[in-house]
Amino acid sequence: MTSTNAIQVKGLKKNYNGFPAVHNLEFTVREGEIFSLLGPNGAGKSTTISMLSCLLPPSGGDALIAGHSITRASGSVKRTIGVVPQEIALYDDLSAHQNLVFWGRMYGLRGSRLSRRVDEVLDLTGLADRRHDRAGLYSGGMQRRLNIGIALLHEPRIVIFDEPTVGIDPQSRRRILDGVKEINARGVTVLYTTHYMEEAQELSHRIAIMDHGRLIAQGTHNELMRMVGGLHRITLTLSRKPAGLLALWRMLAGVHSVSEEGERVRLLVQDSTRVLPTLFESAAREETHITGMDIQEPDLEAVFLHLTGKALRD
Amino acid sequence: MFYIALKDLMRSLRSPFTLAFMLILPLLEAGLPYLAFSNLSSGLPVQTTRVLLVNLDRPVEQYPDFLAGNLLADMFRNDELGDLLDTTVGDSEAAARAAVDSRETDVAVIIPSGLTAALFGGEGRTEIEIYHDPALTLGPAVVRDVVTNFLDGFAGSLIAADTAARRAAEDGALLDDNSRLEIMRRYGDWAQGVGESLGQGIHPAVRYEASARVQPSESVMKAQIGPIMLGMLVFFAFFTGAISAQSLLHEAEQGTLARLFRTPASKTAILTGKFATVEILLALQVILLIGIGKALFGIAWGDPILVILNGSALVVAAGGFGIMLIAFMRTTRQAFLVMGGAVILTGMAGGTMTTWFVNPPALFETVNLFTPQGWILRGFSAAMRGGGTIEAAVPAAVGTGLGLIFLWIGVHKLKAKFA
Ligand SMILES: Nc1ncnc2c1ncn2[C@@H]1O[C@H](COP(=O)(O)OP(=O)(O)O)[C@@H](O)[C@H]1O
Ligand SMILES: [Mg+2]
Repeated sequence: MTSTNAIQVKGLKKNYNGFPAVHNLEFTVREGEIFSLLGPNGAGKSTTISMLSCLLPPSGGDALIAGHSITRASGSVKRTIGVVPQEIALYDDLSAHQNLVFWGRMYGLRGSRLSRRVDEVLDLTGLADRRHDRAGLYSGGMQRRLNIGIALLHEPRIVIFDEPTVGIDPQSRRRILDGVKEINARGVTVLYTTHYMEEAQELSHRIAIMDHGRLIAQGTHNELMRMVGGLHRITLTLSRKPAGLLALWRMLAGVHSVSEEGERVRLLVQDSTRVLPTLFESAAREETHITGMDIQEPDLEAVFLHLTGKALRD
Repeated sequence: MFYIALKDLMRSLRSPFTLAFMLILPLLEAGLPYLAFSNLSSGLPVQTTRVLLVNLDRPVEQYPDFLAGNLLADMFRNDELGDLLDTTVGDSEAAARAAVDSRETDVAVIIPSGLTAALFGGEGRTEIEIYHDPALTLGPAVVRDVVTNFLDGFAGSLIAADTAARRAAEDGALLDDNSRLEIMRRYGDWAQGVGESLGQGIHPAVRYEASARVQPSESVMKAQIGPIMLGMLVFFAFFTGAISAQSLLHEAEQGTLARLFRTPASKTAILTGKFATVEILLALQVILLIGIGKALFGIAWGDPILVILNGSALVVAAGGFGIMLIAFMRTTRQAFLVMGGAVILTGMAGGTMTTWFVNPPALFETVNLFTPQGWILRGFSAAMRGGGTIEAAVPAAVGTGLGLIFLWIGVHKLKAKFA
């Protein structure tokens, strides 16, 4: 069973002078998945990452990374993972190329493997054209990409991203999210931390929600939604409103309520993905066109609000 | 470790700031006075000028016991001039001139045989000769003023004595020669006081001559620039040590140090790599400055082995000092101020700014011993002077020892910090 667990966190703790920044953390990241740690600033995400990457010794507990203990086999752990730190950490008076060569060497790459990986990462991060410019002259988004690229040089099986999209423009963020998915598609396990619920929702197979150093919930997105008993709200605009159609919809399994709101019809459903095809089919049979549609899923924001009584972002 | 040092060296050598502190500033500081060819002594605190007095004066028949040359010689022995002039007596004009040419003395004053005769209205003109080292202005000027004062005073006293004699004659009295001399002497004392408060030009009876044989660029400048360059070398090496050690703090602030600690490279290797950079930069600086000093200014550093010993001591001590200081700093801002201050203070206390002092106060010599700079200067200076092996090697050993102690303290503190 352990072979399918990329990361297994067992009662991890960290105190800063008595202040519990991370408290009895328990979670498991399966091989090949994208697992997100979602929590507001100060939740303890970076502290957790620092312990998992053997930068900080835990105050208690342990974690296994690909079977290696972070407290007893830090060398193996460091070689297995790639870490993208929250703060951009590179030499801004060196070029992208020089940075990559240096960090590659720090990970033990040499010779042709080093130059091949440097080229591949330059392509992956879209920095090949500017490879010889000083990193300090790059835009924030380019620096973030280089910051990520450094963590991928040694082809780690597990990559940990600590809030890689903080403070950048939407295009750069899009590019990074797509990059994370692409890396994962190549079989790399991803542990991703963020305080943006949209990112956790879009990327993750599974999500753990953290607050004040504790895990307060974890599961797939759907599982988390179910915790708040959330119903999808579907709002439809119809070409006409045959009475039989609305009556039929009220009787469908998974549909909680159907109400008319002027031109539009609002349905509360358990799972919009399952209900929507039936809605479209029955409308077609009644020769009614659905001309507009809006689906409002209950979101992680609602889950966080439900569990902590406060908003995820202040 | 090797790659960290390589990367740091590449970054440092591309930084104009580092280069300025390593090479350009020390060379400028040492070389500017040299290149400007200005008179170094003029800007320095007052130094004692060595005067060699040759009194060839002979009495006239009228006053067999009186010699004007002796009066002048007495003036040079005046206590008030004691700090300024260190007067010794010679007996040959040629020997006195030779002493100036060979820099054994700074000024030669030659009182001619006919001075007394000339002053009593006599036979022809006779000049008092002041022959001096061209590199000096202050000391020879003092000598010139003393002589001018004397001549003015003497002329005045003669007039006073004549006037007194005429008055006495009008009253029917006759002044004897001794009374005449007594009047002149008293007048002379008074005139000397007046004369000092007046600005004086060169008296026509003074020949003021700079030695043409002593070449300033060849000897004095060179003699001065060696110690100055040495002081700058030691001072700025400690600056380089402090600045290059700061790259550790800089990396900590940039997050790259934490990132390094996340790589499989060990902490010891990472820190060793950083320290190696500091020492390599220092070695480069010391070698280059010594080489450039020799090539550009013709500085003779002394026995190569002693220079290497002291150079290594400098590298170890300056590096250790920087690493120790950095271990106690929290931010680069703090480090810049505190370490800059520490390097300047210890540098000055160590005597790096005052290497050209001919007679440094005894307190300086003692304070020097409490700084690594002081010891290393001592070793280098001994080598430069051509001093004995022990004289140059012991300070080098002390400097190296201090450097190793600093390094040990720094490494322990840093290990605790990053544990
Ligand atoms: N080095 C430190 N010393 C003391 N407290 C710290 C330190 N680093 C983080 N903390 C505290 O620990 C808590 C968790 O911080 P962090 O792990 O950075 O949270 P996140 O990454 O989720 O924003 C915060 O309250 C923070 O102030
Ligand atoms: Mg964080």
